[in-house]
Amino acid sequence: MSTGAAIHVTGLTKSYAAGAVAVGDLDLTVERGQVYGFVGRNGAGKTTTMRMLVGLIRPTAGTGAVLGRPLGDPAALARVGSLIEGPSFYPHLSGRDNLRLLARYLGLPDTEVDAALERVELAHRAGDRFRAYSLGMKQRLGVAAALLGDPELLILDEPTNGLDPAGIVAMRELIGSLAAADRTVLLSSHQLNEVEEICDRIAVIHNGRLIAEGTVADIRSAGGTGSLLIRADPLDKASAVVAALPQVTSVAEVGGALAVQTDPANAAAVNRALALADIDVLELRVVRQSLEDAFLDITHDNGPVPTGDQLEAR
Amino acid sequence: MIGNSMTAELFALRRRRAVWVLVGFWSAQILLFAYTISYVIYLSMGADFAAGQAEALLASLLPASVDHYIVGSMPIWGGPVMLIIGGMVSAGDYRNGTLRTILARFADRRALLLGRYAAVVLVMLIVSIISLVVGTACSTVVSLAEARPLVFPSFGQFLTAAGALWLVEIAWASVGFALGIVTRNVGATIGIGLVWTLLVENVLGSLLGALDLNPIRAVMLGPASAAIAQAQGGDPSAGGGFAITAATGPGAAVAVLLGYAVLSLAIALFTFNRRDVV
Repeated sequence: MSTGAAIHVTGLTKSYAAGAVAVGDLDLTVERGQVYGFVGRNGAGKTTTMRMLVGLIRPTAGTGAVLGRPLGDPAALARVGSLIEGPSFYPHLSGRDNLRLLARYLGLPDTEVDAALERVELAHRAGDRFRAYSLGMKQRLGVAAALLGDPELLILDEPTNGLDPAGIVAMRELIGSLAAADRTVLLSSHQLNEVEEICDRIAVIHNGRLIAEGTVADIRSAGGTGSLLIRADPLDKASAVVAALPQVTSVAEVGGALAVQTDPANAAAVNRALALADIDVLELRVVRQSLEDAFLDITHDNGPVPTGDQLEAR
Repeated sequence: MIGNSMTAELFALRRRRAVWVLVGFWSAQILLFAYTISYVIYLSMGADFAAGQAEALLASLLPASVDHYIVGSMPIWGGPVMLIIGGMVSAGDYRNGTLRTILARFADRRALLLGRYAAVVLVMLIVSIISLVVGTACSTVVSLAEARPLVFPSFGQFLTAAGALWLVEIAWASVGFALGIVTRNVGATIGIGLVWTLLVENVLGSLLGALDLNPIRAVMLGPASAAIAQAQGGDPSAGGGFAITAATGPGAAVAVLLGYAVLSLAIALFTFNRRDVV
């Protein structure tokens, strides 16, 4: 396996004749061995970016490399497995024959096909025609196609789309096993809890532009600092004491508790102030901002573009 | 890389029923138009016809004539079928989105297309052999029905006929192949191909012939195919009501047909390389 970033693009842009910019000036680096999340709303430019990475469409501007070779390089892309914009196969062929066809393009033996089918737990239905598959089975066949030849880099666009809960868990385990085997995965998904769980780093793309990039913790903090939940007695007195603290942004009473907007690092100071005011603190816990909350905040706000370094410096 | 693409395309073609339905359709055309209808016409010839006319028709249906008789059937009846097969191979992947799946792993577009084209060329060779086998079988039945001696062309004559058929088929299939890439749609390829055959090759070709504008007809696909058939000793109207007639000699016709194949492939490669695949 060669060294260097698995994916590195600079100023990647795709615009169309009508003037629409699908992706604008995108800088992205995915290091080898990472599971990298690529998130954004529908139409944000995720799939267009992935298409450019695998050479299906050509960038209007910008440069980049995949596995150390220029974008679209056939030798590099033979080492990249991908599932982009849903699984597309010949409907009249069986799942196995569809993979055998792809294996012939790649010069792989049929034993690789069987191994890939086993890996996505589709071997028992491999002889059925693709058109007879459920959405989840089609998706698994798409992942099996991406796994053919044990590629160094996997680019997966919504791989859990259409999967049942068990399938989602199996997909998470599969991606985990790929990461454990030192494979690189670029993953786009709307399932932010999945992304949060399996990705090392995340890029958030909005209206074709990168608006945040960093670790899961970086992105979470980029969307806000989180909050505290306090149960105390008497609650109205506690509310007044907490609201008077300079570190606190706001206090709201929710279901018999106080939702306090402040940096979770201020928890001890808040607790101390309540104790000094002779208030019984029944519960005080940090409510961390979820990736979903952060994503909604970031994409709603869409202000300046924080990079990983900027986020880490915060 | 080209070899991988050709192997994969042949794997796909073996399982694509529509291609073999078309090959069967072409074989049925040979059976129906070239032999059955012609034989019925021969049987219905009464005393009104000159004795030589009936005998000439029967002679064309016997095994000794099978090599040039089948080549003669190709320009008007077989060409459009080969055009459709070429279009199906090149445009079929756009419909299912399978091109996206393949190109994401096999990104050498030139190798992909050349491999597919090579597969089409190979299929055309198979079609040539099938055509001659069907023709030989039909002519044998006619010979037995008429109690005539079974006299077959030499192996060399069969080879020459297969080569002539192959060249004509490749030219037509290449046009379909290029149309498939340009339109990215099998239906549009079939539509344009058939309109081209009927209006340009037949109607316009006949009009140009009537106006004695043979230099223009000489570079048309149909007349060039007909010239190859005639050079083989075949009649381009074999089994049909109307004919595409030759406008040039066999040497120029070979150049024209090869020109169609090369130009079509060049257009397909140029277009395929430039376009985004979505």
